[in-house]
Order: sequence, then C-alpha cells, then structure tokens
Amino acid sequence: MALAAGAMLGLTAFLPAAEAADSSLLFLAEDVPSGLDPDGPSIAIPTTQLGMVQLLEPLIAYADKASPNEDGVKMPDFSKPVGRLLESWSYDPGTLTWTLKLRHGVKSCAGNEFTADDLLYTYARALNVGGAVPNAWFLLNMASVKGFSTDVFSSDPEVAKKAKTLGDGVRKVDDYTVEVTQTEPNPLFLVNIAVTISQGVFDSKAMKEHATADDPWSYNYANNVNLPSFGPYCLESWTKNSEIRFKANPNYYRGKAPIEHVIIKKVPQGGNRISILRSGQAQLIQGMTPNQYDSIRKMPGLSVSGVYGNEGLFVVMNFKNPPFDNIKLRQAIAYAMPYDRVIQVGYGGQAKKWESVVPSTYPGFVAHEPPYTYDPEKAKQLLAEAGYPGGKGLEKYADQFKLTYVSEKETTLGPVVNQIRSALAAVGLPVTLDPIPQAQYGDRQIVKKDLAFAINDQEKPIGVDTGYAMQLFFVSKAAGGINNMVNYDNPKLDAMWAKARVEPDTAKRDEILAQMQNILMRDVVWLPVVEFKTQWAHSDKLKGFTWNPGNSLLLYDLHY
Amino acid sequence: MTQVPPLSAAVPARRRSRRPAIPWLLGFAVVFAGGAIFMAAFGGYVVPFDPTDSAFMPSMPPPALSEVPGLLWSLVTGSQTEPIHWFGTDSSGFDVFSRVLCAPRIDLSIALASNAFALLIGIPFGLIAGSFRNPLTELMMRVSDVLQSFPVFISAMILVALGGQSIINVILALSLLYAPIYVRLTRTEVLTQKSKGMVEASRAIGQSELNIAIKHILPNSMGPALVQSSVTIGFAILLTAGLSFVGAGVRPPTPEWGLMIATGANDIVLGQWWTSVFPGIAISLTVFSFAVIGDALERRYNR
Repeated sequence: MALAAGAMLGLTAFLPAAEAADSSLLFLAEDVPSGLDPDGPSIAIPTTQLGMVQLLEPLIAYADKASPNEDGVKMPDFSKPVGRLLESWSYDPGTLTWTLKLRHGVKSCAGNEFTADDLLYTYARALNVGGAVPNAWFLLNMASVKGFSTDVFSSDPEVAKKAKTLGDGVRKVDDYTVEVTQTEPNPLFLVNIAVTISQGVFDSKAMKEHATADDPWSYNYANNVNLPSFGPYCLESWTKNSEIRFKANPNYYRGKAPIEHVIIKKVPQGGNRISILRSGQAQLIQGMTPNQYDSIRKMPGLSVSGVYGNEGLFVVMNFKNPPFDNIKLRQAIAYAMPYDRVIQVGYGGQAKKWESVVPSTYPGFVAHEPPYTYDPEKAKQLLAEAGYPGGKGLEKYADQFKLTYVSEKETTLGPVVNQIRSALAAVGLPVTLDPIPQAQYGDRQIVKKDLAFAINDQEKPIGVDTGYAMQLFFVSKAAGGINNMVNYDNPKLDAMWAKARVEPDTAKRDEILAQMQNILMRDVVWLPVVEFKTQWAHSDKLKGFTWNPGNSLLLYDLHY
Repeated sequence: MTQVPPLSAAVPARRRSRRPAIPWLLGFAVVFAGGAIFMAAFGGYVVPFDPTDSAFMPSMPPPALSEVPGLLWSLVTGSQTEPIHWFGTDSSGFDVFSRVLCAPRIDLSIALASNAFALLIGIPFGLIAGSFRNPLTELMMRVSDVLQSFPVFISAMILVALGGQSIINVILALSLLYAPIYVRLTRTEVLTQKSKGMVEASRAIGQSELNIAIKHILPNSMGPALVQSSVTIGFAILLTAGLSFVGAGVRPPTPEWGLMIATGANDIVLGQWWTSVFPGIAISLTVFSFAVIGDALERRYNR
C-alpha cells in the first residue's frame, strides 16, 4: 500500500490536474517500450509492440464485424481486409504480381506525404536485415516475395551484398503505385502485410534525415529516439523504463484521434495499477491477473473489456529431451491435464478449452477429434503403454520434468502451474516447478530451444492464417520453422506445408492445413490447454475497445 | 505529581541501565519458538491439508470471527467432518493455515542451518584472529570487515543469483554473510580472555599457545557468539523471507512465509488480505520470540 501511495504521489506530480480532461488518457502498463524499431531487439515484448502500433500505419487491416462481442469489444472480420495506406490492390495469378495502389493525401507526423518511395524504403530496409531481428524480412520471405531469400544471410559477403539489393521483386510504377512479385502463388502476402509491427511503413524522409554513415538505415534512431511513420499518434516524449507520451497526429488521414494526449506509464506492481485506476487518476490498465480483473468488474465506475482473440496457454514438451520423444507419454500428459481446473482456478472462468494449435478465432481452425479431456485413468493406461506404469522409470528424468515458466508471471501462472503439477503428480509424473526470469526463458525458447517441459502463454500467430502458424512454429528448422521451440521434425508435415503454401485453391489448402492440425494434435506437438481472454480494465467512461491480432490496444479507437 | 525517586547509589551502574525482565514474555517466546521448531519437524503430519495440494476453491476468505466458536464446536461434536480452511485459501487454492504451519520447516531450517554454519566458521576464525596477531590474521579481519560492509540483503541476493536458486545455496549465502559477526564477537572476547590471570598462569606452567587457546580461551569466549545466535536466527528468518519475497529464495509451491506474502501481496488491494497477513504475523512473532530469547540469554550471560 505504501508503494501504491508513493506511486500515486508520483503520478499526481507528473500529471497536471488540467490533463484529467476528456482529451487525455493515462494508461498504466507493466512496462513501457524498450525500443521502437520493428527490427529491434525488443520486438517480441508486448509493451514494446504497444508503443509501435500507435506510431506505425499498416498497408491493410480488417473491417470490424457487424456487432461487438459480449463485452462490447469490436472484433475484426478476417474475411474483409480493408485498405489503410493502400487504397486498393489487385493480384495477377499469371505473373504472380500484386499491384498496390497507395492512398493519396496521407501525411506523417513530420508533415511528409506518403508515396511509393516510403514503401520502397521500407522494403529495402527489411531486405538489409541490419537490425537485431530480421522481423520485417521474415514476413516478406514467408510470403514468397521475390528477392527476399535467405541469401541475405550468406557467409559470402558478395552473395549477401547482392541479395540485399532490392531488385525487380518490388517496383515503383509511379508515386502512388507499387508492384510486388512473388516467386510462387502464396496467399500469405495479404495476411502478412496486415501485421503492423512488422510491415508498418516508415516515413522515409524523416528516417533518412537521421541516417549516419555508420547507421544508414537509422536503426539507432528508430529504436531509441522516434519511429517516424504515418500512424494516428506522434511521439511526444519517451523516457525508457518510465513513460512514453503520444500526441494525436494532426495530419492523420482517417481524422485526428478522439483522445489528443496519451501517456503510457510504467507501474510494475499490479496492485498499484489497480489503486491508481480506482483513484481516478488513470483511466486504463492492463496486465492484471484473471482474479484481479474479476474483482475490478465489481468495482463502481470501472469496467473490464475482454475478448477471446488469439491468446492461449500451452505446454511445451521438447522432442529432443527424452522421455518427451515418446508420443504415448505426450498423450498421457494430455489426458492428465486438468483443463477445467485451469479454467476455473487459473483464469476465474475467463478461459475456454483450446482444441487445436491455432486460435479458434482464426480461419482454418479445426478442433481435434476426439478431443483430449481430463481422464486420469486413460492417462495412466497410456503411461503404462509408454513403458512407465504408474510413472515407474521416470525418476531418472526428474530434471526433464521441471515445469518451466516465467517467474515474473508468478501471480498469473502460479495458480495454473500448481493445478497442472498436482494433476500430473496424481498419475505418477514427477513434476516440479521451475520459474525462471523472462529473459532467460525467451533465450531458451527462441535461441537455444532447450526448454524440456514448459508453460507458454505468450506465443501466438499474429498473422491471421493457419499456414502462418505452421510456418512459424511447427515445420522443421530445415524447412524454415523459425520458432519451432519443441524441435519437432516430421518430414511428412514439412511436405504437406510445402504443398499447402503454394496451393491457390483455398478449399484444398484448408484441407491440407486441417490434416496438419490433426497430426500436430495426435503427436501433441504443443499441448494446447486453454484460450484465455485478452482483457483491459478501465474507467467505464472509456469506450471504443477494438481487438486486433497484434493484441496491442490501438488507442485511436478509444474515446470517452 | 509523583516525584521520581533518585537512583540509589547502591544499585550497580550495569543493572541500572538494564530493562526489567518480563517473565511472561519470555515464557511466550519460549513456547512460540518451541512451537515453531516443533512445526518445523512435524508440521507436515499435523496440518489439515497438504500444503502443496490445491483445493478447488481459490481465494476463499477465512471464516468470520463470529463463526469460529460454532466451527470449533462442530469439530468437537463431530458434526463437521471436512477440515476447515481456518486462514482461507490463496489464489492457487492452497490452504493458508496448513502452509503457515508447514513453513517453519523451510524458514527455521534455513535459519538454524545457516546460523550453525556461521558459528562453525566464525568462532574458529575469531579464535585464531584473537589468539595470534600477525599479518595473516589482520588480513582475515579485513576480509571479514569487507564482507560486513556490504548490505546483507543485496549480498545475499547476489550470492544466491551466482550459486543458483536452491535452499542449500540460501543457507550457504546466509552462513557466509553472518560468519563475520561471529568472527568479530569471538575475537573481541578472546582478546579480553587473553589478559586474564588464568592464561598467564597456563603460560607459566608451560602450556603451548594453541593449547591455551583451545582449552582455556575458547570455552570462555563462546558466550557472546551463542547469545548473538538467537538474534541472528531471527534475522535469518527475515532474510530468507525477504529473498523469497523478491523471487530469489525458495521456489514455489514450497510453503515459505516470504513467498506466501509475495504471492498474496498483489491481491491485498482487492481486499484479499489473508494470504499475506497470516504468514506476516507468523514471521513477526517468530522473529520477536527469538529476539526475546536472545535478550534473556544476554541477561543471563552478563549476570
């Protein structure tokens, strides 16, 4: 409480009374952006993405569904892409070429007009792969855009240099027309250019003004100073590890944002965020536990808006770590999983059982049949078939059964992992808990890929496509699976994806993707447990909540 | 107005400065600390719930005070067959009462073990440093001073981080940090004892310095360190809880007071006070009890 009081005093000092008006918003989050460059080192951090999406403008987005969900949150209709920086687009299957017609009259925060040069600069920068993470390149490579090959990483400097030159895959036709050619008929192009945090377009003039001889693509400037783009907000000030301030872009082509000033302030302790929200000084908070959201729902003057978007919790079991290479054992764990308890105790009922490895809101999702249910007897039977009756023989794998999770999420994941540990122990699995810091977890998941047994609630495909998820998480490393954290290597699955990714017939493609989901569920490649609500707590005067696949709240949609 | 009587010149100065003894407080402290030690040994066998097994009732509040007599009576009469969550449940559905009672196994074990190790390190080094004055023992004392000059909590965090998060490493870290206290206390007492006649007499009859140190000086120099140890046990409990509170101590779901407070702290603002308050009270009373016992021992030693 002392901390809360201290935090409130601090906020009182920094937030003038006049700012508590309808034109301002104080948003409290677990952190503020560590960087702003989409190819920067902190791209995977949600609070970093929260900052980026306010500044960047995508080429396309999705239209809202006709009616909001039960919490009043507007949901996107993934079958209806709408132009943002694009006025229109067309595709010629004969030449595998997309013709992109750019919107006229769009101005950046700096007042520069959006033209084809900005898009070409953005693509050329992606191809340069000079940032900490080749995020923008990866999505264009995944979409089979000509020229975006792995040659950019060649150890031969000449090959790499040549590959980094934007060739005829992306061509400027005139100031408002760009043509993009693919190497194969890959439908992911349209999906991927909707991903704001990867494919948002830079204000090339502003970027070039801050280029240096050492940093010709302004990575340092974009990551540490400002991210010049055509989005609804402009950066007003930014103190890393403390706060970031946005001011509505006066030139924004869809009209100036209803809320002129937004401050995102770091308040690490969830209890303190609630205290400040209750005091009325803040209007919006995020990153609370389900239990806390549940309590806030009952507080006068406050609301919780939530949506089943694309967030889910799953169990990681690494195929490189015996005994998790045993499919029967994996299935036994799937049947020993206490799904209902996780939903009720871990998420206070704000979750539902997850029946596949892709979000159920995504096109192409297919629920596994028959579903894995909590069935301890069947789990014991499978465990015996796996060669470990009653768990005998697993003692030597005690180290592998350390259930790893992010220690910073103890308040959220603690109740979940405790339910799982108890249930698995009941069938003879020697599970212990192993909370480790977020940074260590991320390194082991993404770089080393050596997490033997872990809980993950942060990975999700932000490209709205089942194939996107397959490419990202499940195909083998040799086939380009960049985030295959369980080291699953199934040549049959790789072959199916190779076929699906170039299949022009949507029905046939969906059929292959459905078969792939069934294989993944049969082998329990991920053990999907629950899909949980993405939630925000806020003043009940704040309206306009709209979910997008990036999961970062777009402040432009909010109003009083 | 009552006039304060002048201090009697007959009262020795040392006794004048001392607080009066409170027998009932000492009795309470002995009983409470004894109870904590008992729970450390047998807590797991007497608690109503498995402290690491989740009930399907997260964040359940404890029964209201007005309900407690009725519940107790129903237990006596046998009409209540199910165990009661006397202190409620936490966000994982763990029984707070059972966890509070089982926590001494970790907290006290760490505190007692680290204190024992610290004594084992500190007393011999203190004896050597006091008995033999040479550059090596001076260096030993400077190292000891350096160790003491760092903030204990920060040092403990660093040591646990370097060694890895485990109970053994917490014990080793605390031992290392508390040993210099005993080194200095023992050395000071050794220097005092060295000037006493019995030492001179031992030398006169030809006993070696080592023999004198072990046979005559050591037994008479251990008192301050042993008195200090009860206070150090209290500090070690606090430090263990503090390390767990910041995530550097024992791992969940181990029942440990600091970890329980940390888990519940975020929910206090929602009115869910019981997950933090009960372990907080347990820590306070345990540390207080050891402090009172230490005070009594000191009084006895100085008599």
